Amino acid sequence: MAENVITARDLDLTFQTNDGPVFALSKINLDVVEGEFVSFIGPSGCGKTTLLRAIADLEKSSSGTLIVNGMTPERARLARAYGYVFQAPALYPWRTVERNVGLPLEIMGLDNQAARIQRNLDLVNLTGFEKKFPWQLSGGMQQRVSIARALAFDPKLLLMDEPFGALDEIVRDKLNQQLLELWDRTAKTVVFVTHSIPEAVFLSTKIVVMSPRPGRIIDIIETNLPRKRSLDIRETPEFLKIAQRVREGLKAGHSYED
Amino acid sequence: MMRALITFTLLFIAAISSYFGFSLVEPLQGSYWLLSLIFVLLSWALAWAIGWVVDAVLAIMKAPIRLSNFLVPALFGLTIIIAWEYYVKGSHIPLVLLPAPTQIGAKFLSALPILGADFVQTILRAVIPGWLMGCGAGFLVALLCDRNDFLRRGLLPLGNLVAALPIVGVAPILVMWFGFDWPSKAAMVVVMTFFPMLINTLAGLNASGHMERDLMKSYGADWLTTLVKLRLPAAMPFIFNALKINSTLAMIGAIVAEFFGTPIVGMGFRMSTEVGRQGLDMVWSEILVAAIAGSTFYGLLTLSERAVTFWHPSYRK
Amino acid sequence: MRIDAARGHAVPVAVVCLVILVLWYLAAIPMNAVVTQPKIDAAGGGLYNTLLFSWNHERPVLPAPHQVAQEIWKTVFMVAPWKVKSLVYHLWITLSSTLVGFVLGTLLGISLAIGIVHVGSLEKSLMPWIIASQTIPILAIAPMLIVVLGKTGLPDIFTKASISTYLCFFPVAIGMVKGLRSPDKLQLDLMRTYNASAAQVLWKLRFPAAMPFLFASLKVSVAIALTGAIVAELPTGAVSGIGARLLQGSYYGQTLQIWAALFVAAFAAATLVWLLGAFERMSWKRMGVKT
Repeated sequence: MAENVITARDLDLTFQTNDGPVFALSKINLDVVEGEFVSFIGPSGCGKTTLLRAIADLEKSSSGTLIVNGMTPERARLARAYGYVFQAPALYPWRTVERNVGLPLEIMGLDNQAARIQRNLDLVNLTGFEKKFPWQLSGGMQQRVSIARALAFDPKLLLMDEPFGALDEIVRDKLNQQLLELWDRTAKTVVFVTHSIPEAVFLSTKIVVMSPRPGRIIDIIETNLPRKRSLDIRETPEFLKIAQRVREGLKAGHSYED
Repeated sequence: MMRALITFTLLFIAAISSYFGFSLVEPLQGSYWLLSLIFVLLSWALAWAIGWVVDAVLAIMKAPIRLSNFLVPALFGLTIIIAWEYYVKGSHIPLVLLPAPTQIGAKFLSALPILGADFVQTILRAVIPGWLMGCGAGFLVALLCDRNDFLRRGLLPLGNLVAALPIVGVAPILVMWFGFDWPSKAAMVVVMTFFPMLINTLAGLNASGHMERDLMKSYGADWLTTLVKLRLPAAMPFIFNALKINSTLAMIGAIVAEFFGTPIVGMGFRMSTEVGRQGLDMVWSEILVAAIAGSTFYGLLTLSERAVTFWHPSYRK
Repeated sequence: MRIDAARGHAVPVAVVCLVILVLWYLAAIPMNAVVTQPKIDAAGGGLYNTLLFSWNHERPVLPAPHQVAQEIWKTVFMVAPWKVKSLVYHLWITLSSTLVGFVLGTLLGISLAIGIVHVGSLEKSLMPWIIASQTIPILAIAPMLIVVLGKTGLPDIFTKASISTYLCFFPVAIGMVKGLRSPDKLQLDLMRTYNASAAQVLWKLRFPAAMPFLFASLKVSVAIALTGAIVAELPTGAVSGIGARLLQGSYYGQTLQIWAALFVAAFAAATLVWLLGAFERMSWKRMGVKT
C-alpha cells in the first residue's frame, strides 16, 4: 500500500501585509501518495508557490495540519526529506558544476560524494561538464545542474517551483521529456508548480487546479495517461480532454478575469 | 594601413619640430606658459596618434593585447613629466616653489636611507598593523551585528554617520592618549578603517539572494554553515571594496596623524618639517615613496580580489 | 510603513547611544587618574571625590560628556559669533573654504566626466591617472600644496579651497562617468531613432540617468571637502578655523578646546550631508522616483 508522502487538512496561510491580510491559502485539503507526479497549476497569486513553500517549511502555515513524510514540515526539512528546485538555477558562481552538485553532500556530511555527483550529473545528461563554471553554461544546462543538485542526496521527495519557466519552448520540451524519464527511472515523488497547462497535463499523474483570492483548490484531476509518454501524446484526444477540464477549472475559479 | 602611416609620419614630424622649436625659443623670456602648453598638447596628440597607430597595427595583426590601453596613458604621463622639466628649467622656477623632476630624482636617490627609515616608521609600523586591526575589528563587529539584529539596527546608522565625519580630527586626542610614537598613528588608522569595513561587510552579508538562502534552509544548514559556504563568498566583492578604500584611508590617517606630533622620523613628519625648511625636493621624494607604497598596496589588493572574486560578472566581457 | 521603519531604528540607536554615554563616563575615571589621583588623595579619597574630580578636571585626559557640552555652550552661544573666541567664527572660516572647494570641485568633476564620456582619447589618457591618483594620500601632501599656492598670492580662502577641490573632484568625476554611461542600450537606441544630437542625448537622457550616482558622490565629496579644509589649516600654523583650533588645543594641552571643536565639526559635516540628502529627496519627488 503506497504511503501518503504529503497530507494537508484544512490548511490556511494568511500573510499580514501593510495593506491588510492576504489569504494566500484557504482550506487546502490534499493527499500526495508515494511515486506520484503532482502538478499545481493556476494563475499568479493562486497560492501554488506558497503551498509548495509551506510543504518545504520555507513558509509557516497559519492553521490546519500539514504532514510531510509523517513529520511536521520543520522536522522534515531538518531531516533533509526533500530536494528543492527554484525558478532560477540559484547556482553559486564561485563553485564549479561538480562542487555545486556536491554542496548539499558537504553540508549534510554524506559519504561517497564523488560517486553521487557523477551519478546525478549522468542522470541529467551533463557528463563532462564537471569543471565548468555556471556562467559558462546555457540557462537550460544550469537548470539541469540545479536538478542534479536537488537529487544528489537522494531524497524521496522532489519539490519544483516553475523550474522551466525562464526557458524557451523548445528547450522546455526537451527538459520536460528528460524530467519524465528521470522520474520514471528513480521512482521519486514529484510536486511540480507550473502555469502552463500543456506542461502540467504532459508531466503529471495528478493535477491540482488552484485559483486566487483566496488561494484554494478548485479541482483535482487524476490523469490516466500511460507512464511512458512521448511528446506526441499532446495531440491525442485524451490529452486534449484533460487540458479542457483543467481550463474549465481555471475559468470556474475566475482565473481568466481581471 | 596607409592612413596609419601618413598620420604617424605627420605627427612624428610635429613632435620633432616641437622639440627643436623649444630649444630655439629657450633664450627668449616670458610666454613659457604658452610654449609649455603647446608642447604638452602636441605631445599628447602624438601619444594619442601613436596609440591609435599601434591599435590599428595590432588589429591588423590580430594581437590579443590592447597595448594602446597601456601606451597612451603611459606616454601621456611621460610628456607631462617632460613638460614639467622644461617649464621649471626654462622659467628658472626656484626650488622653493616647484622642483624639476630631475632634481626630485636626484634627491630621492641621495636620501634613500632617510626615506627608508620614514617608510618603516609610517608604513610598516603604523599603516599595516592599523589596517589589519581596523579591518579585522570591523569584520568581527559586522558578524556580531549580523547575529544580533538589535545591535545592527543600532550600530549601522551610527556607522554611516561616523563615516561622514572628519575623523582626522581625533588625531590630536589619540596622540594625547597613546603617546608620540607609532601606536597613536596605528590607532588613528584603526579608527579610520573600522567603519568603512563594518558598513561594507554588512552590505556584503546581505548580498546573497533569497533563493540561495532558501536553498540553505532547505538543507537544514545552521547559521555558521550558511555563513561560510554562502554569505561570506557572496560578500567578498564588498569586503574587497572596503579593503581597497581602507588602504588609502590608512595611509592618509597615519601621515596626517604625524602632523600632530611624532618622534623625529616618519613620512608625515618629514613632509611637514621639510615644508618648513623649504626643502620641497625632499617633500616630493616622500610623496613619491607614498605613491609607490600606496599603489603597490592597492595593486596587491586588486590582484587578490581578482583571484578570490573571479566569478563576479564585472570580470566578464 | 515609514513610522514602523523609524521605530525600528530609533530604539536601538538610542540604546547604543546610551550605552556609549555610560561607558564614556566610566572610562573617564581610570583615564583621568593620572592627573586626578593627587587631587582625590588630597581631598581624602572615597567614591564621591573620585567622581567629582574625574568628571570636572580642567585639563582632563578624557573629558566627561557634560564638560564637552559646557565648553561647546560657552564658545558657541555665550560669545558673539564674530569674535575670535567663538567657535562659530572658526566654523565659518572652515566652512567657507569647504563650500568654495566643494562647488569648484563638483563643477570640474562634472565637466571632466562629460568630456571623458564624449571624447574617447581623453578617457584613455586621463582615466588611468585619475584612478592611480586615488592611491596617493592627497591629504598628506596638503601642507606642501598650501605653502606653494600661498606664494602665488591667491587669497587664503582659495589656497585652502584648492585642497577641498582636489579631493571632491575625483569622486564626482568617477561617479558621473559611471552615471552618464548608465543608460540602457535600448534607451540610447531610441535617441538614435530620433536623430538626437549628442547635446540633446546628454541633457535629456544621460544627465537624468546620472542623478543617483551624482548625489551619492556629492554626499561623499562634501564630507571629504570638510576634512580637506580642516587639514589644509594645519601646516600654515593658521590661527583661525577648526583645524587651527585643533592644532592650538593640541599644542597648549587644552583638551576641552579640541573636543568642542571636534564635535562642532562633526555636527557641521552631518548637517551638510543631511542637507544634500534633503535636496536629493526633493529631486526624487520631482522626477517621480518611488521613495
